[in-house]
Amino acid sequence: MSELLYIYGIIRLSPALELPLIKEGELAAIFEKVPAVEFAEEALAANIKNMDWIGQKAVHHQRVLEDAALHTTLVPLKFGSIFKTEETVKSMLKEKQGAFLKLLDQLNGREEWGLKLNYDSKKLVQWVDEHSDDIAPFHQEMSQSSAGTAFLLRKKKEEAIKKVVKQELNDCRKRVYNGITAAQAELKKNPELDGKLLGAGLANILNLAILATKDQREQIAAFVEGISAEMRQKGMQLELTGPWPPYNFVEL
Amino acid sequence: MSHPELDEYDPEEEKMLLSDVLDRVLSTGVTITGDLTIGIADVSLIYCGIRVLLTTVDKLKEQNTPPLTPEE
Repeated sequence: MSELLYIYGIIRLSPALELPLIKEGELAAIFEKVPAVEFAEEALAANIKNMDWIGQKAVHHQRVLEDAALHTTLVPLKFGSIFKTEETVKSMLKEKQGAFLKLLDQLNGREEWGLKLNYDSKKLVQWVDEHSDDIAPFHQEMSQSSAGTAFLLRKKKEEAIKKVVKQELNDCRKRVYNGITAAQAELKKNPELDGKLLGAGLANILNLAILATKDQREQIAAFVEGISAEMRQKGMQLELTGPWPPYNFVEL
Repeated sequence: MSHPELDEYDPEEEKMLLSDVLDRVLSTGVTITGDLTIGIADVSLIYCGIRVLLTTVDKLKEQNTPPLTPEE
């Protein structure tokens, strides 16, 4: 057998959609025929370790779902959901029909958004050094001290800055979290991302997935816009991405 | 003759997008067990490896490490 069936997502059957679909009852699976040489078990296991290949295929997976989501509510499947025959897809749809329909109802009218709070440690330290009321007295005292005393004061100041930085981080994190929860959207708190994935000097201190209606999303976007300028001054970066297919909100 | 305006290219942005996509596509979404050719658990496991790989690539760039040359 030279072709396999790659399933991207599950939708409620609707006559208006012009997508390749495998239909069963009230449901349909968005699919694509893929070559077995690339996607059969052993080949896939090897390909998935290839950064270029996985990057390209993951983006394709996302694009297919993104396009479909413009027209309908869908349940996204995880990368590499591969079936051998149409019959196996149909029997899976039949078996899980109740759960899929329930999920699709819950997701109707909602989109997933991602929110990340990142910060640049150097910039935050600099901001605290220049603007914190707790640090200002050190500068004043240092300017009137001998070199030896100023050296000791600088050491003390560095300790004080560390404390203020920690407070600022927790304070901003809490404010952002409270601002987002105020919109009453469904939230999932994902593990913080490894800073090395974000690029030079940045660390991630909040990583949320949000399932929001249009109104909730507008409230969240307004909150993010309102707080961003202040955050930027402190070396912090609030990043709202989306809409995404509801990857984070589809447990069967 | 008029030329299109050249917008600013931000390599950081591209990378963010890809890691955002990988983050979702490989580690979330419905897992269906059954007649699949590869177990989904394997994908998640491999995703950890990809993160390590991305991390390593970034680290090399950051430190501006010269490429390894074979010993003579």
